[in-house]
Amino acid sequence: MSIRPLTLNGLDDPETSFEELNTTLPRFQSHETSTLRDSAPPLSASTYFPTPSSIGTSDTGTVFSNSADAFWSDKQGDNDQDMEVEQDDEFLNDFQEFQNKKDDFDDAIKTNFHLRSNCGSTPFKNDDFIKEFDKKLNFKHDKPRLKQPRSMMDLKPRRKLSNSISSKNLKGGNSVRFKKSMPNLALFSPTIREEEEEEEGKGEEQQVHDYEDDDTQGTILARFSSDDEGGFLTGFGELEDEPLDQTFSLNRGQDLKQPPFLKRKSASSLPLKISPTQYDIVKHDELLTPGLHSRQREWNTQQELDSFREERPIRRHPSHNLQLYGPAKIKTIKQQIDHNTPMKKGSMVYNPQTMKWEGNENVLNRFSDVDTANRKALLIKNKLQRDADDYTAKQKRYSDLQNSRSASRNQKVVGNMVLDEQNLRWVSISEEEADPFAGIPEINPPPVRITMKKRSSSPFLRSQSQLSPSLSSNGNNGGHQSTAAQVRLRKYHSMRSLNAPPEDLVLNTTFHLSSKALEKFYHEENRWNRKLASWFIPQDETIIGVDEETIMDESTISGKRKSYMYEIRNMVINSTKD
Amino acid sequence: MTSIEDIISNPPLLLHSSLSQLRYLILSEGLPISEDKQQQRTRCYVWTVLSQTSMETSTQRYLALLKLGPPSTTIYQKIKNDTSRTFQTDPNFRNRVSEDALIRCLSCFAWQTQQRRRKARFGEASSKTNRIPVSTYVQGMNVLLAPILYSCPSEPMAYQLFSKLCYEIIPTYLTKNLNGAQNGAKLLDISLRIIDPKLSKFLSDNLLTAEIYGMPSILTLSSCNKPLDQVIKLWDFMFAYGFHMNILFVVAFLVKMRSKVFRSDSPVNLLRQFPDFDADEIIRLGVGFIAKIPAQIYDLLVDHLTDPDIYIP
Repeated sequence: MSIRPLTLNGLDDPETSFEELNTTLPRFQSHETSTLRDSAPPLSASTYFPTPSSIGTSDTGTVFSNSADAFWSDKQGDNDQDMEVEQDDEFLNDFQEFQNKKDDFDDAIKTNFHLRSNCGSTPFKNDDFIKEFDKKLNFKHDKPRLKQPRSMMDLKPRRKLSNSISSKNLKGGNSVRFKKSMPNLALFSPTIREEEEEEEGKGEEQQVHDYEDDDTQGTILARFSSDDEGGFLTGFGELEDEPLDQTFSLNRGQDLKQPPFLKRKSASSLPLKISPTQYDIVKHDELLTPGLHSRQREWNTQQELDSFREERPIRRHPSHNLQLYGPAKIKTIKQQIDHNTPMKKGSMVYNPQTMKWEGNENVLNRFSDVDTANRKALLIKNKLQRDADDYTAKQKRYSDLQNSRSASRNQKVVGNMVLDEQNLRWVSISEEEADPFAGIPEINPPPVRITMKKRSSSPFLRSQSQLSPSLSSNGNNGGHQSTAAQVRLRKYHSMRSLNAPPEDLVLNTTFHLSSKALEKFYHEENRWNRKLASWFIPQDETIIGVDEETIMDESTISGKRKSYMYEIRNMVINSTKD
Repeated sequence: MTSIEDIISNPPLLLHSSLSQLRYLILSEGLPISEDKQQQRTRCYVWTVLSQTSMETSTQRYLALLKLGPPSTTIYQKIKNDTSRTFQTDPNFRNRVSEDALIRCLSCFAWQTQQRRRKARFGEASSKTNRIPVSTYVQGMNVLLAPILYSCPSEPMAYQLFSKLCYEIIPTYLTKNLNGAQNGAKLLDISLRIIDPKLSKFLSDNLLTAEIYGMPSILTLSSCNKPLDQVIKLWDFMFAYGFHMNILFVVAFLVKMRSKVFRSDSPVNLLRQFPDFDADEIIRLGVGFIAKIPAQIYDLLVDHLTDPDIYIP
């Protein structure tokens, strides 16, 4: 059995796939075999039973056979499912897992394939794998007998199956559940395919394998028809020693670990009652390959999508699922990716030693290319345009650019813009652009220390030092004494001395007036003086408080000052009198 | 307008009568509200003439104070806290007056206040008003400063006007316990009782005292009200005829919205911020109230700005 990482998300529309199932299921005939695998028997061609037709909902990965002959063989039984209609983009589904893994391409692949092998694919010659697989089968089971359905169910929560389509199917609450499977790259392997086709005949001959009694090995071929749920279920009767739910008493082997809510719906919606644990999709390219189904969302450009396109069309959109109604085939699926079986799909070759798929390494080169100048210019144009360095460097670049322009014309040209390869930016072909930064002097914010020095030599500081005698000696020179002055300054502003340097800078700007401002101040004062000085005659007794420090008779001042405040009253009183 | 410009452009034959003439022109014609730089300058000139604030050496003095840098952290933090929100919603003000300018002027005022205190301590205070302990900074100074900075062509001139206003025109408003402003609130209560007894009774029945609804407008000489351009016009008048008129203007604000107050479910909220006003209307109302104000009360109105010792029951 292969426990494929189930597609966790990226199931565009589980309901849709469900509908597909319904429509196609009527065509299903009697029996389907479910594969229950425990320990791995050696792979043999004779047990390889491809089914003639199958239906798969590729997006969801839910696969079930719709032919009467379909069955799942256990150990070596390869359930081979062909998608009738597949869209090209579907291949990208293989990368769904990457969505979960975010962008870590290699990790995702590794994880997938490790998981796959760990979870056990068909025959393991590696003892470790077998052990590990047994372990998984025993997961949460005390019983020595390994029940395939259980182990499947055990694994599901771990894989967050609630999101998967299969779990949606299970929500039907019926005994039949469809396990969601992953695409299998091996399907596309020519060599394997030959084998499968050979086997197909055999598979059809041995359509029904009844393993009802063979529960110890966990190999069960359940025969059932769409109408005969009970008959199908009886095949599992022996497995049901821990019924969880009355409704599923017949089927409780696989329901054991299933949350009750998952069991409701499938009976009504699925004429064909198949527990996902009863069959095992061990070989199907679309369904068994590493779950990358939702990865397509991450690809931004069609170009990138195309890089993953295989020749084989892959169905993608739910609407296209309708095409499945055609000659749907169910094939026995067998896990092809095992320990030492080399596989090939398209340009990809599975290396069993490294447990990696090889052959598309160049695809990754695209990502490294991103950093090159050409790509960057296309993708990160804005950033480049913003890339403004210091003025001198800019000048140099300009001259360089002009040289290179005259030198070679085979540059990248878009519209009337040409790529300046050296500076990684676009410039106009036709005209020499004026440097927008020309004439703007370079302003490098000075480090705090320098700022302090400046302050210590500034007139403002001098005045501060006037207030504070200890500072006066340091006031006028910003040289070697500046450090001491700085310390003392900080002392002087003890309240804010511990403030961060930025505050000093802020204060500096607040209390630093530009020469332009100073000029304006004097200009305005002179202007006022020219025009209004005659209104203020010094020493004239009628003048009130020209200078606050002028000593004048207090009563005179206040009297004069307040007299005007009665003017309005006098006016009002006089007017009302009249 | 042109006549106002004419008057201030020519040397006054007799200062006193020329000032009276200027005042009357302010009352009758008024200065236009304009973005024009020259108009702005004219307003500032009129204010300086009316308040008799000489701008001679104003820049020099301002820069001398500015050299002192920021005042102590406590004061500086208070200043910064208030300047950042001074007329924040008024784009015109924000365009014309930078927060830094507010900070600079208020910082200079704090320094100058400290210098004055030092002088007062050494007995150098020359007049009674100089002995009034004006605070280095009280909340509301930023709002007082705002119309001046808004109307003056340069910071030193604005500062000079501001310090004139604070130290000599309304010094009692800026003492530590806001003595003058509290007297102003009492006078507002009295004035309202005289002018609009019904409204006064309604407000007091709702436990609304002048200190609650009138304090902001009193302390800031109505500059906390909107719009700022109308505040400027109010100030034109008050520079001409005295800032004691502010109390009567607050009465005018209240009388103008009296019907709303009567209808309101929550007069407190209604009075928290006076609605936008028209300065000419407020001036007309306020001047009209003068006739109803008894002479003693008017004296108190005049004196409470500069006399810290007034006690109003």
